This record gives sequence, structure tokens and C-alpha cells, in this order.
Amino acid sequence: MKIFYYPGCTVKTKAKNLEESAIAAMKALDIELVELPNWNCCGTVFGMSTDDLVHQLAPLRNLLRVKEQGGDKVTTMCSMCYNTLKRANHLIREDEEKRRLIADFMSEEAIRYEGEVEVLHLLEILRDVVGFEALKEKVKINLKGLKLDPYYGCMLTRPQEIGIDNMENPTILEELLTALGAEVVKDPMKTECCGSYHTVNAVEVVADRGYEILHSALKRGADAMVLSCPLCDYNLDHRQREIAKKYVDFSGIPVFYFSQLLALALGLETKESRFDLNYVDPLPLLREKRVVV
Amino acid sequence: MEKIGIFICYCEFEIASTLDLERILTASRKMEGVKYAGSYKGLLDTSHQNEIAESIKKEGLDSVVVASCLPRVHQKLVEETVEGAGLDKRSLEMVSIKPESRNGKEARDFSEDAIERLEEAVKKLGKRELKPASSVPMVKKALVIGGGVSGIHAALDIANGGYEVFLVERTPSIGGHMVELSEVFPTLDCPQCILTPKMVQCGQHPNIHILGYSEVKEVKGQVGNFEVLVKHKVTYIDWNKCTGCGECANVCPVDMYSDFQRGTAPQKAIYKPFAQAVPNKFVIDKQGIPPCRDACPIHLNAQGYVQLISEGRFKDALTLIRETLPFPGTIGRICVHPCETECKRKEVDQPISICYLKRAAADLGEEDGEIEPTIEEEKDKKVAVIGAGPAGLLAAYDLRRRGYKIVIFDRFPKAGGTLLVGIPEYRLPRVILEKETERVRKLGVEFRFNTIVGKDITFEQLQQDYDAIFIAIGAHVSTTLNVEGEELSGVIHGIDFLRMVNLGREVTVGKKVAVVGGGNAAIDAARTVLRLGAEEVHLIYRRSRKEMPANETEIEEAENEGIKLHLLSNPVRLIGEGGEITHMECIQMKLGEPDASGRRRPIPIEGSEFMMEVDMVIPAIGQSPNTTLLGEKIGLKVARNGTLNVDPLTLETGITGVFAGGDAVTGPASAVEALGAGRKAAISIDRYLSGEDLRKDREDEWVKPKELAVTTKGVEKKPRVKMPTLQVPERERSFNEVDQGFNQEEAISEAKRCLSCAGCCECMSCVTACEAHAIDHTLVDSYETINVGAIVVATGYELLSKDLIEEYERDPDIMDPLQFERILCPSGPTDGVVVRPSDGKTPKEVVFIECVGSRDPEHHLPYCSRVCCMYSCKMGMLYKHAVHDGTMYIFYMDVRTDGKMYEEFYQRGTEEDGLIYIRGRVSKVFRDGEKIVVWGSDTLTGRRVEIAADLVVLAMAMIPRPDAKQLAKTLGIETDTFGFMKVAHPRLKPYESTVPGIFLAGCCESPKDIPECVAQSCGCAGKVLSLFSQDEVESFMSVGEIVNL
Repeated sequence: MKIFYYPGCTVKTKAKNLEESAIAAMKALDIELVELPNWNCCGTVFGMSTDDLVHQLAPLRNLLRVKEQGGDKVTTMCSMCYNTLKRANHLIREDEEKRRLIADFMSEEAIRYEGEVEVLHLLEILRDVVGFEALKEKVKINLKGLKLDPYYGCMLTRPQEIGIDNMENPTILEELLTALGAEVVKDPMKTECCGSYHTVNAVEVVADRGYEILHSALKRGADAMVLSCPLCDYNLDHRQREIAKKYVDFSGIPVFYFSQLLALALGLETKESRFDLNYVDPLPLLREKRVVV
Repeated sequence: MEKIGIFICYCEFEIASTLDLERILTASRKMEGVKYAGSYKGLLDTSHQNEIAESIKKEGLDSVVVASCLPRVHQKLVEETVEGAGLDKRSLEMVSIKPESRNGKEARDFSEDAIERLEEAVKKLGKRELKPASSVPMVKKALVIGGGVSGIHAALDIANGGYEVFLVERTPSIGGHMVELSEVFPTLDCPQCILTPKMVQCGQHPNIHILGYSEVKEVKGQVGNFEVLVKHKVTYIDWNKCTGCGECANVCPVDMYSDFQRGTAPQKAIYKPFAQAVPNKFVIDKQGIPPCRDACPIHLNAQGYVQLISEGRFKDALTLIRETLPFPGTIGRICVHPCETECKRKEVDQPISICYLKRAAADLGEEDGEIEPTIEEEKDKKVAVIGAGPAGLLAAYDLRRRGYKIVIFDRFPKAGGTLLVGIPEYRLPRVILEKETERVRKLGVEFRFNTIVGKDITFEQLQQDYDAIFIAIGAHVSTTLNVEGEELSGVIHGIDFLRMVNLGREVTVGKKVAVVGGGNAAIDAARTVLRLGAEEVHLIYRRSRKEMPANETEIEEAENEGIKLHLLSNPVRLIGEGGEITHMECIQMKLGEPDASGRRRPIPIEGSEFMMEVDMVIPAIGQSPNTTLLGEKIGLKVARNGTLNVDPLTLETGITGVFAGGDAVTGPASAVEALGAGRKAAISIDRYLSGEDLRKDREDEWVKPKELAVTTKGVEKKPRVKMPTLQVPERERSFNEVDQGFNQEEAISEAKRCLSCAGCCECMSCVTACEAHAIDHTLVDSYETINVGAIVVATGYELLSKDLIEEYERDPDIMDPLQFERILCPSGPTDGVVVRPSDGKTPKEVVFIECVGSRDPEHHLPYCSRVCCMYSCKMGMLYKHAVHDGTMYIFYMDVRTDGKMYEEFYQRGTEEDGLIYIRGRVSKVFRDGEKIVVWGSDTLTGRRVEIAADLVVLAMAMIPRPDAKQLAKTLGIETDTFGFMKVAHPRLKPYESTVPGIFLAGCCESPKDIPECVAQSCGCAGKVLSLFSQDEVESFMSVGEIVNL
């Protein structure tokens, strides 16, 4: 099966380990992610102002591209891209007037876009198209022995209208990791903010938030974190340097993208998961748990 | 009716502002049958009352439509006016033309709606035929549905007024939620003390009939004469005999969730909800048949003996087992346990070790002086059983107990069949098998060993000497490999090998042995040959491990003992030298599509042959019965796979009086299935010999029970207790029993994991204990129809489920208020000592969170639940009285304490008892080690608040009972969107429902506190008494006709 795939900027630069592992893993599941030609920026935070319609153009133009290519679905693995694309889509699906205005504004495009494309996060594809029961059958390397702490951040589940799971207590990552054979740690911090864009100009905030989240995981016996958002990953993985500087008792903990573990579990070679791009090297842990030789 | 007058009442606010009256009137005048249409400002004020009457007379109207904003309120008044003008009041139609919602719609639309409704009313009148007005005699009896504080007061007042009252209560006792509480505000009275006298009054009042443990199923009729169908749910106890002594509960082994205790303490499956119950009677909570019992071919009461073991009652467990199975020690060691496959516990972690526990009962429950099973009166008929395996043994046992004379013929020297010659000693010690088969002989069954029927004695001779014959010869012929070299020396088939070993004969064993097959027989052979001295034992199986039919534990133990598994491999040919086997050539297999058995077909991979050096090969790939002597030769039909054909319902063969069952019929199966066949054959033979129909009701012998709803969510994981086994080095070369069996502690610990799927497990301990002989497990639900003139609904409330609030974790120390009440209650499960559920420690910091689910239109319920502010203050005070150095924090939005003395109560709480009120909401509650962390905000200081509490109580919203909507439908009354029952008018008719004759009292109508409940129920009683002052009621019956267009 083929499905259009919207990458967004971050997976092409800072989060290559997310993209490459995801594409490889999905290929092993017979799903080819076809990169959308001529894609542009998803709009990021600018799309959050719903009264200023011009900021919705960026995400909607991407969806228009999908329709142009003859597709009716598009997937992405970046939480922010997912959120903006889906929210913009939701906005014009609900509001006839805005839909018309925006479509009229983009009249120089060859076709008109009126909300026909479905936006799916990669996790939704795993849950609803592949199915976790079927996924279990395909696991070649069981992640048994690994205690993993899934972390959701915010963009995947909020606002509730577009969220892929319950915002107070999402379980989709837990279900995925359980299907791969791992043990999942229950952690109330899984939906608490990572500090987000404060990483740009107020790193202290991120260090505090990161410490609270990671310390909670360590306290509850987790071996590693698992997440899906490049910004969360930056704050919780790369920023461990800052956390360690401020909190002397912080020992560090590996952080995985869910797709890296998925690729591993499906039996792909270790290099496909691009662990070399993780800040905290996860290979010692994986070797210790005999997931990797 | 042809002269219809339309009168529209309006005022500037309601109707004139949104309706185009001119349009409506114009349209009305054009309607067929309408003679007059007019609108009047304030028509229904007294000044305009006469307008209608005068118009009727002036225009000669024969019927009238009156349109207003509140037709229900105005109806009676207008009816009187119309009657005053000489018309039958049924010539009136009231219509509401008040616009329902304004949401951007234009006035034009509302007017269209109004015209439509007027048209409908006109049409109705046009078609109406007035039959003479009739009335029904008033049945001066009342029905009160619900026995809480509201129902009790309504019932007492009506009864004291001199009328009979039926008080239907869903639970075994009246009392409702009030008796669950610790103390009630604002007086801090003990609710049990103030309510139980009233409960007793109800119980003793000559006019009140309490119908406990019952439900209203159907209601027909109208005010003055309702016909109500009441279902009396089966209690399994004769309440005329029950004295409420409780001896039965003392011996019940089943702990269940208690609605009354709300999870703070369990109750037994046979229970009385609380000590002061009225009626003071017990009930049994039996959900059905548990899946374990259903899956067992002999339907052994697995839940029963497991629960008895959980209480350490091994002897009782053994007695229960022996009622169904005389061989628990044997079967408990070798059964394939289909019960465990269905055990619901597997959804939590792993199924209960039902099989091992049966063995534990046999090992640990044995005491001197076994109870002898009863035998009915001796009959002079004789039955021959061929085969002393499980099928034959149980058939003989059952038939002997029915009084028949039994002789069992067997070709082997001892009893057991495959249990004797197939299963190795390290799995089933011979001493156990002998002890248990001896039971059959002790009943009076004669065994003739070393006798082959068809050779030592002819079948025809048996047919002459015996009145019936049961053939249970098993399947002792091994299936050949069908490869070249099978006749070489050193090749000996699995079951033949095992037979020789088990009968103590000499067997030469090789050093490098290959066993072919994946079932229990193959594993038995492999582990046996290892013990006899083989150096290397290899097991070759053509599919993968998942498809191996052998017990998983057997495969694991084989691996532990060093047996090597070669999966996806199959022998191609056997190669020898000088007649002795030297090599076995195998080929690798892959799995293709599923075959007839449902397992994936193994396909050889071309070119993947490999050689194995062997000096002994043991094929064990299948078995079939030996039908050379007892088959077609004696006139029996034999199927292509070698098994005997029988009627599946009765086990009759084609020959009259000859039956067959077990492996001989099914092919190699399990011992417990054979037992099932033996039991079935015994029933057939008994009927045959008594001249009864063999087929009647046989399908109903075991009706598949309905699926039970069992809560597996939230059950703490606790894996199976490991069966202690002999360590591998110790096992070397010896046939000592490998599984050591549970000791008492291990058995009890394992048995405690049982989820009690069926509730009452029918262990019958209660029957034995009840000195009043009041218990009867065969009783069923019963129904009763009662006639009443009025109904008061007082079904009360429930609390919104904590599970719906995702931001607060599931945890035993995060409770709802009724649970906390049970802990605070001096007569509660902790005697009023405040301890927290998780570890029994005293909580020093308690957090109460208000408005959980209430006042939350976005996610839950928009309304306020009325009582939480008061009860949280009360519970705070009671907590402080019990734990002097404790602190109670209450997160609130507002504090609503508006009743009489309520404000003073709240001030007392804050000033005298030091309750700390924090104005703000709570975003998250979760466990952190020993503490429960609460993240809230204090809006008065603008700061975030984090409290590490010991216990958290959530003031959950008050909602109607889950069955309220269904009851409302049964009664025909309206409910609001939340399920609360609607009154006819919120200001002027607070007691009446939307159906005349049915009144609403208490929280089923809306959340309220106890004083308001009592006020409302006494008001309803007053309404009923005033209704009963009439001897007749007008009949509202209108007959509808369905017209097919």
C-alpha cells in the first residue's frame, strides 16, 4: 500500500532519525510512504491564530497538493505538522465561509481544496490500518525486558477534536509498545509540557520541565523514554546536557522515537534506526537487554 | 366536529414578539372546519375568561382549539371554561405555539410551525368521535417504587392514611443510600439510628407489603387503575423460613463486591446487605455458570472447589469434587484442563491453576475414613464394560451407583487403560492410580483383568450374559510413519514402547534416540527413554512449536531435561545396516495454508534434506483403536480413520444394547473427554435398561450458559503460583514424580486469584449450614401482577463513575464520597476507624475535591449536585473528630450551604474543626509512592497548589440510577436529558410526573438532600391520599386506529 507522506522541515534536519526509521519500518510493513512533491512549511505555531486566515494557507496548501496528486490521505510523523494540518483541515470543514474564502484566495492553484483529504498521524496508521494485533505477529525481535515510558507531549492529543487519543490519559503509545513486547511504565507526567519553544530563549524552563518529566520516569523504573515529537525529543534528549548541569543528581536516560523501536522490533538492521543521531546513546541499554547483539 | 373555534392567547413577551399573528389567523380561518379564529392579549387571565365561553355560544362552536405558551398548566382552567359553556371537555385541544428555540431562525419559521400545530389540532378535532365519558373505579392501593428514605416516608404516610401500599425495592433490604452514610448534616445524627425505626415500622405496618429484591417490569392502565407486573428476583432462599441468622454466610467461600460497602469491604455470595436489614432475610447472588465449569466435559464445579481451597477447606473441596469425579488425584495430575483455557483470569495475567488445585485437594484433603458414595437399590440387570480406562471406569462407577451389577473386562493386568499403559510414572505415580481405581472396585464392581474380549471370551457370549455392553477400548494402535525402513530393528512405536515400560517389561534403549511427533505421547516417550539411559534424545516435529498439541508445561519440562526439539522437520526414510537402524534422513518443512484440522499444512522444502545419526527411532504421530476383534467382525460400523461409529447424542452403536465411547470413538483425545463419554454412556444405558426413551431431553443435559460479565479491568496482576518441581539433576534416570504438588499455603494463595465469575459457586456449604432448611438452589424468578390506583417513584440516585474522569488516576486511595462514608461510619467495615484502603494506615492529609463531573458542561454534566458542599464539610468534620492531628483540604468553586442551619454548620467546620478551603480546581491527581499528589490552583492568591495527600475524596456528581431511563419508559413518564424524571411543572407541580397518577419523590427527580426528599415524599403521599378521596376516576382511554394509506 502506498500513502502520501508529509515530512515537514524538522525530520529533514534535526530529526532524521525519526524520518528514516519510520520510512524503513513502514516499508517492512508493506506500506510505502511517498513523499509529497512540492510540499511547503506546515505553518507551525502561526496556524494557531484562527481569526487570521492567511496563516491557514500554508497547511491547507499542502493538503491541496495531496489532492492534486490524486490522494485522499496524507500521513506525517511530526506532531506539530500533524496538528497544524489537521486543525486547519478541521477549521475549513466546519466553517463554510472560511472554506470558501480560503479556497477563493488560493484560486491560482490548478484545483480547489475543500477539505477532502484525511490527515493521519503515523501512529494512527499503525493502530487503525495495520492493527496492533497484526503488528504483534510481525515482531521479529521482541522488546521483552525493556521498561519503556511513553511520552506524548501536547500536539498529538490537543485540542480534543483533532487528537488521536484521549487527552488526559492517552494510551496509543502504550498499546504499540506492548504489541512490540516491551513492558510499559505508568507515568502521570506523560502529558505534561516539555517546555516547548522556551528552548530557544529560556533554556532554564526546559531544564526544569525536562528534569521533572525524566526524573519521574527514572523514579518509576523506566529504562528509556519513547516519544513522537521532534521538539519534545530535542528538549528531553538533547537538552539533557542542560538538565545535568542544573540538577547534579540527574543520571541521564535514553530517549527513543517510537519508529526507531518499531524498526528494531521488525527485525531491520540497527543502522536503519539511526541511533547515531540520538544524543544519549541508547545502544548500551539495548545491548544490555539483548535487544541488539 | 365541524364548528371549530381557534383562540390564541398572547402577550408581548412570549408570543407576539416572535410570531406573526395576522398570518396565523388568516391561515387558521382557511382551515377546513374552522368557523372562528381570534387572538387575545392575556386570554388566560381572568378578565378574558369569558371570551371563549361567549364565542362558543355566539358562533355555535362545537369544539375549541386554544393556543398558548404553557398548555399543560392552562389546560384544567380552559376545560372548566369549556364545560361551563356546555361542551364536553374532550372537545378541546390545547396547543403550544411558543417558539422552542430562537437560534437564528426567522419569525416566519416560527409562525409556520405554529400554523402546522394548529392544523394538526384541527384535524384531530375533525376526526374525533366522542364516545360517552366513562370512568373507572379508583383502586385505593398505592405502589411505591424504591425503598430509600423517600420511598419509606411516602409508604408510611399513605399507609397511615388507611390505604394499602406495595413497596417494591430492588435490593434485598429497604434503606437506600441513607443507611450507607456515617452521619447526616446539619445535625450529625446517625442515619441508621433515625431511619431504621421507620424501616421497622414499614416492615411491621399492617398496610405495607414490602416486596424486596423485586423490580417493576410492566405498567399498564391509567390513574385509578394501574396494572403492574412485578418481578421477584430469585433469592434461592425461602423467606418464609429464613430467620436472618447468618450461619450460611459464615460458611460461604465466595467473596464478592458489595454494593452497600462500595468496595471498602466484600460481602459473601450469600448475604444480607447490612445488619439491620428490613426484611431481615438473606439472598444468594448467583450470576450463572462459570466458564471453567462449562468447558469441562464432566462439568466439574471448578469454581466451587477453588473457592473452598481459597479458605483452606481442603476436605470440603475434595468432597465437592468427589460428587462428580472419583479420580481427582489422577485427573489433577494429567488433565489437559480445558477449564484453564476458558478461565477469565487469563485476561488479567494467567488462568487459575485449576488442575493443580484439584490435585492439591486430593493430596491435602484426604482424611481417615472416606465417605462412601451412595448406591441406589440393587437392580438385577448386568452391564459389561470392555476397557478399564477412564471412560469405562466412570461408566461403571455411575452405573454401579444406580444399583446395576457391573463387570469390567480389560486386557491389561490392572485398571487405568491409557492412564496405566500410556502415561509415565513420573507424571502419574502408580500408587495414586491404584488407590483411585480401587474406589470403583470397592463399590462392588468386578474386574476381570488379562482378558481380551473376542479372544478369551467372545463378544456373543457377553451379549448373552449381559443386558448391556459398553465398549471403551481406547486407541492403542500407533500410526505408522509410512517411510522406507520402518521395519528395521530399533524402531519401536511410542505407545508400544510406553506400554512395555509401564507394564514392567524389558526394553532395549539406544544412545541416540529420535522421537517423531508433537503430542503428549511423543513427549512421554521422549522423557521416558531419557530416564532409561538414552544419552541424546531428539524430538522431530513437522510443524512449529505453536502447533504442537502437547501440554505447554510438558514441552518446557522436556526442554529442561535436555531433549532437543527439531521443529519444522519430518523423517523421509530410515536407513539401517545389517537390519539395525543407523540413520534417519529428515527434510525441513515450512508452513503453508491451514489444512482440515485448522493447523497450517507443513510443506517440505526442496533440497533441504539432512541426516541424523540414530540408533533408536520412536514414532508417535497418531493412534487409532484396535477394531480387529471388536469392529466390523461383530457388526459394528467403523469409520475410515479406524474409530467406531456411534450416535453422538446417546452413544448407541448400530447394535441394540451396545454402546461405545472414549478414544475408541473419538480417536486419541483426553482423559477428561473420555470421562465425559463414560458418564454419558451410563445415562444412556440406565435409560435403556429402564425402558425409557434414550433421546428425550438429552440435548438439554447441558445447556450452554450465557456469557458472564466479569470485571477484569483493574484487577492487580499476580502471576500463577509456580508448581514446585523436582530439580533436573534429581530427576535423572528416575521415575520419581516430577511435579511435587502445592503445599497448603501455595494452594490457598493460588486459589485466592480466582475472580468468582459466577458469584455463588454452588458448593452447597450454605445448604448444609442452614438449620431452617430455607435454601433451595433450584428456585427461579417469579412474577406477580398487582393493581394500584397511584404510583410514587422514589428510585433515588447513583454517583457518576470515577472512571470517567481521566485526569484523576484509578487508585484505592482515591475514593468517592459514599466509600469514604463507609469508612467514617461507626458501624462500617473499619468500625469508624479512619484508615486508607491501600495500606491500612491513618491518613493525616486528606484532600476533598468538589464538583467532580458537576458544573462541567464541556466534558460532563452542567448542573450542580446540591449536596456535595454540605457533605464534604460534614465529612471533614467527622474526619477531624476521628483524626485530631489530621488536615483536610477542600478544593471548591463556591460553597453552597443554603438550607436551614447550613451556613452555621459550614462556619463551624472552618472555625472549630479547622477545615482548609482552597478556592480553585484540580487538574491532576496521581500516585507518587506512598502519597497521592494533587495539583490544584488557589485562585484567591493566584498560585498553583500542590498537595501530597494520603487520601483523596472526589465529590462525584449525582446522577439518576442506570435503570431509571428504562423504568421511565415502562411507566410512560418523561425524563430530562440526564435521565432525571421530569415533573409536570417545575414551579407549580413539583410532585406530579407527566403522567397522571404517577408521582415523583426524592433524587430520582433531581439532586436534593434528605430533608427535601422527605418533604417531597410526604407531599406525594398527600397527593395520593387526596386522589384516593375520589371513588372514581375519569377514563383517559382514547383508542387509536392505524390507517394504512
